[in-house]
Formats: sequence, structure tokens, C-alpha cells
Amino acid sequence: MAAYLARRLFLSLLTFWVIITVTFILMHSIPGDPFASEARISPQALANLRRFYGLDQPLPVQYLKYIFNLLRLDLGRSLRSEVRDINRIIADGLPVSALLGLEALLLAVLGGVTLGILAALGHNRLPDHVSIGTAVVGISVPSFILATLLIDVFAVRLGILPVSQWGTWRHTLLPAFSLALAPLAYLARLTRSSMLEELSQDYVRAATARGLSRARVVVGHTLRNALLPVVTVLGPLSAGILTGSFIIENIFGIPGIGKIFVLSISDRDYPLILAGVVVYSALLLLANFLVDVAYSTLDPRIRVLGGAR
Amino acid sequence: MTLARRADQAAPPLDLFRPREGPARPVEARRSVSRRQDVVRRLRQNRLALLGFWVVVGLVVMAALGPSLVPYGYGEQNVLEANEPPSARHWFGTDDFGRDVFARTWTGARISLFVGLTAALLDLIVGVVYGGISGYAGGRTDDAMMRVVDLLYGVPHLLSTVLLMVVLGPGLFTIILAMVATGWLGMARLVRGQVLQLRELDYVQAAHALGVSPRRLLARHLIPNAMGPILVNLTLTVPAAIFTEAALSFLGLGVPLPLASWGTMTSEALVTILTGQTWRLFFPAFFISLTMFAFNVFGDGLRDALDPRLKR
Repeated sequence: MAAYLARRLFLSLLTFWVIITVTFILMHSIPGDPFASEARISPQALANLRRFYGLDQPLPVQYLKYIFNLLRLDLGRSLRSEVRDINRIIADGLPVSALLGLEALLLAVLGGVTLGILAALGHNRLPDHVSIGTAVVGISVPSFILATLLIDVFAVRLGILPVSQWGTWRHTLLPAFSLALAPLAYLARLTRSSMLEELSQDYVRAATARGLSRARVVVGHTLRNALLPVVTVLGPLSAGILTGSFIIENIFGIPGIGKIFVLSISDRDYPLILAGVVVYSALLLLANFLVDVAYSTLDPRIRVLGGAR
Repeated sequence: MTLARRADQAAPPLDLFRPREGPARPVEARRSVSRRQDVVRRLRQNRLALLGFWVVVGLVVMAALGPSLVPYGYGEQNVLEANEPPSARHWFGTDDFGRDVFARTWTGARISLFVGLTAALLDLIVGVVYGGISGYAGGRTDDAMMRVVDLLYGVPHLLSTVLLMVVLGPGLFTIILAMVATGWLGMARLVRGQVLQLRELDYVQAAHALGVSPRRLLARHLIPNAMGPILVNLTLTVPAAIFTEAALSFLGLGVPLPLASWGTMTSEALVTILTGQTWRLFFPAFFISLTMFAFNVFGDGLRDALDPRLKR
């Protein structure tokens, strides 16, 4: 297993490096100068600005400097933001986004898996219909529409939850649910089908024949097998929740990195965009790697086969 | 635990040993059906998929005809008739510039469907060519080509699309390009897997032995036989692309104004939850959800029809 994980780690780091490099090149290939729009700047001041941000140096030098600074966990300086140090900006936004993301992920996994199990156990009965209905809504309604709908109902009409902003746990409910519904629906569907498949296996019949109760068969035998596919999709799902925060944080006015990232794009704040990409891909590759570790721990077959591959 | 209870609990499995009820189907009554007929028949039995299909047809028709059914252009402003609720004059009401929401909604449908279908089609072409070559070549070429796919696959789709939009600038074609840039990866993986499986089959080996060129082998034998999963993937790519376009336009990174995309319309109408002209929000929100619903259930139905074993 160690060899397998080492290989995965290497691939993740390689991906990380490729993403950074490509983004760096992309950001510097955009025609025009970041300061071009600031017309009323004297040539001297412009030269100073360019020197300050290191833009006067050749691109390879800038690139090496950037990578070197990244290794020291220094994300550089923002062109526009009031807090110029990007590390500060990220440090302010990341906890907010992390809290929201984890809450959404937890909601999606707990809700989705529970719904899926209930649907499989009550196959073709009410729980099944509820779960299929949720799945259909989850794939059909885009997160930003759902968010708008939730604000309209819970904040404006009923007035029981805040419309937007960030502060108490009550502020987190609507955005977390908006982020969570699509992955929740997907997980419910996945859990349902893999649970149905496991329930039709011979070992389930054997366990029932030995006199085990339904609950013990489900909890002790089928659940672990049925949840394996769920674990594999957690990586892509976290990615969806992470990038989903671009939209949700903007709707709710939440000061997380999603909002910062989108703002940096409309501001054309290239160092901040680059930093956003670095942070997002680091989080994502980490999530994927953790999922791999979890998967190979849960499924002994992977440990053997995966290592040999 | 008593024996009686055990027997009671073991009751459900006993059902499995009950013989099948009803008269056996007479064998001679069955007609032979081609695979395509079989798929179509299964698809027809799936009411949800059928509904999805007809909704898609309806949306396409309305996207084609809708904007010309009313005497207003999608960008035509009339400040005197701003924010009017739906009426006989303006079927879906008007927005804050007095633009007709009906005309805008169906122009938005054109954009969504165009973006969705074009992106899916381009994904298909790139993915089929790349995956086909990779799977057919095998060995080191396949390894190298798939390593590239693995690398790019680690980048979240929305992130790479947003980034490319920054570089390419807003626009209908740049958005498609930005989506396809990483969108073909899934298709390439799928096609490669299919080709790897198929190329070991006897008829392919036979064709190869007869001296059929690799290109012809791919185009005439391998790809057509992998068409089922490819078609399903295509159908499910469309709603994903429509969502991405709407999300980007919602964030102001998509199609430029004054083009009416469902995403921009929703984002412009956000304030109406507070001011009350909710029809401006309802129509784009409803139709984008309906479109995603229709394509998704149709795609799912298609998958089930093509491979009943995979039925979820």
C-alpha cells in the first residue's frame, strides 16, 4: 500500500506543479500590463510599480521567484486589495470557506447516505420515492437558483433566517444547504443503488438464514461494502463543493476565498487569481489524496491489488 | 432466541423459492428484434425518460420559434413599461429596463442549448479521437496519453473554465472553448476504456488479420460499437455545460451583455426577491431547471435502456 500511496502522492504533487505553472503562464500571457488602465500615472511611478511587483524582470526569473516564494509559503502581493499581503487575505477567508465547505460536505454525506440507505431498505415504497425525488431536484436545480429560492422562502417570506452575511451559525444554514443539495442527491442515488446491489448478494441471504436481524445484517455486513463507491466519489464531490463556493459565497455575501477569488477575477488582480488557484488546487489534491488513503484502508482488496499495479 | 422466531425472520428468503406465477410466455410468439428496436422499446417504457425527451424537443422548438412569437427584441428597452407583471402584452412580464422577459427567456434558451450542444459535441470529437487513438495504440503511447489525462483531470472543471475565461475574455465562443479545454477528458477516458475492451474481441482481430487499416478499424468497428456509452455521456454532458454557462454568466464571467443568458437573467433578477417582481426570477430559474431535468432524466433513461444490467 505504501508504494501505491507514494505513487499517488507523487502524481498529486506533479499535478499541483503543472497547474501552478500553466496558470502562471496564462496569467502572464494576457495582453497588456496590469497597470495599463491606470492612465494618470507618471512613467516614473509606473516603473516603480513594475519594479515593486518584480514585473521588470524576465519571465523565467519571475517564475523561479514565484516558485521559490511558494515553497516558503509566501503567496505574494495583491495588486488591488487594501490588505496587500495575499497570505493575510487568504488567512482571513480560508477559515470561513473551510467552515462552510465542511458543513456542506457533512450535510451532503450524512443526508445523502441516510436517504440512500432508507431508500434501499424501503425499495419502491415512500422512502424510495422521497430519495428519487430529492435526486431529481438535486440534479435539476442549479445551486444558485436553489440559493435564491431558499433566501426567498426562509429569509424574506418567513423571516426565520438571515438573508445574507456571515456571523452566527444561523448564517451558515442556507448557504451550506445550497451547496450540499446537489452532492446530497448524487450520494443518495449512489448509496441507494450500491445498497440494493449488496442486499441482493448471497451473503445477505446467508446471514438472514443464520437468524441475524435485518438491522444487524445492514449495519454489520452490507453497509461497509455499499459505502465503498461513496468513498470514491468524495474527492470529486469536495471539488464540486469547493468550486460551488464561488457562486454561493457571492450570493450570500460571505467573505470566504470563493468570493475573494471571483472578485480578484473581475479586478484582474493577477497575483491574487494565481494565489486562489494555488490554494484551491492544494485543497483539492489534498482531498483527493485523503480519499485514496481512506479507500485503501477501507477496502483490503485495493491494498493488495493497488500495490501490485 | 426461539426457533419460531428464527423461522419467522427467515420468511422473506423463502419467497425466492416460489415458482414463477402466471402462464409461461409462448416462445413462438416472440419476434426477433434488432438491438436498436430493443433500446427504443426499453426507452419508451421509461416514462420519466420519455418525458425528458419530449421536454427537450419542446425546448428546442421554443428556442427556435419563441423569440419571433412576440414583437419585441431581447434587447429592446421600453422604460415606460418597466417591471410589468405578466399580461396579454408581455406574456412573461418585463424587466427593469422594460425588456420583454418572454423574448429574453427564449433567447436565453437559444444560448443555453447552443452552448450545451456545441460544447458536448466538441467534447465528443476531441474525446473520441484522443481516447480512440490512446486505446487502440496501447502500450507506451497509451500510458503517456493517459498520464496527460490523469494530470489534467485533477483540475476542477469550473476552476479551469473560469481561468480560461479570464484569459480568453467574455464571449459565447470563448465560453465554449474554455469548457471544452478540460471537458473532453471524461469522454477520452470512456472511449479509451471501450476501445481497450473491444479491440480484444475476435471480430476486431479478424478484421486486423484481413489487413484493415487502424484508421478504418477505429472508425468502422471500434467507435460505432462503443456508441452506446458515448451517447449517454454526450446526453449528460449537455446539462453540465448548460449549468457551467449559466453559473459563469451568473457571476458575470460568461456571455457579454446585453445578450440574455439564463444565468445573467437570474443574476439581474436577484434583487427582485426583495422588491417583488419575482416573475423576472421565476422564468429563467424555472426553464434552466427544466432543461437540466429533461436532459438528465433522458440521459439516465438512455443508459438504462442501453444496458439494463446497470439499471439504478
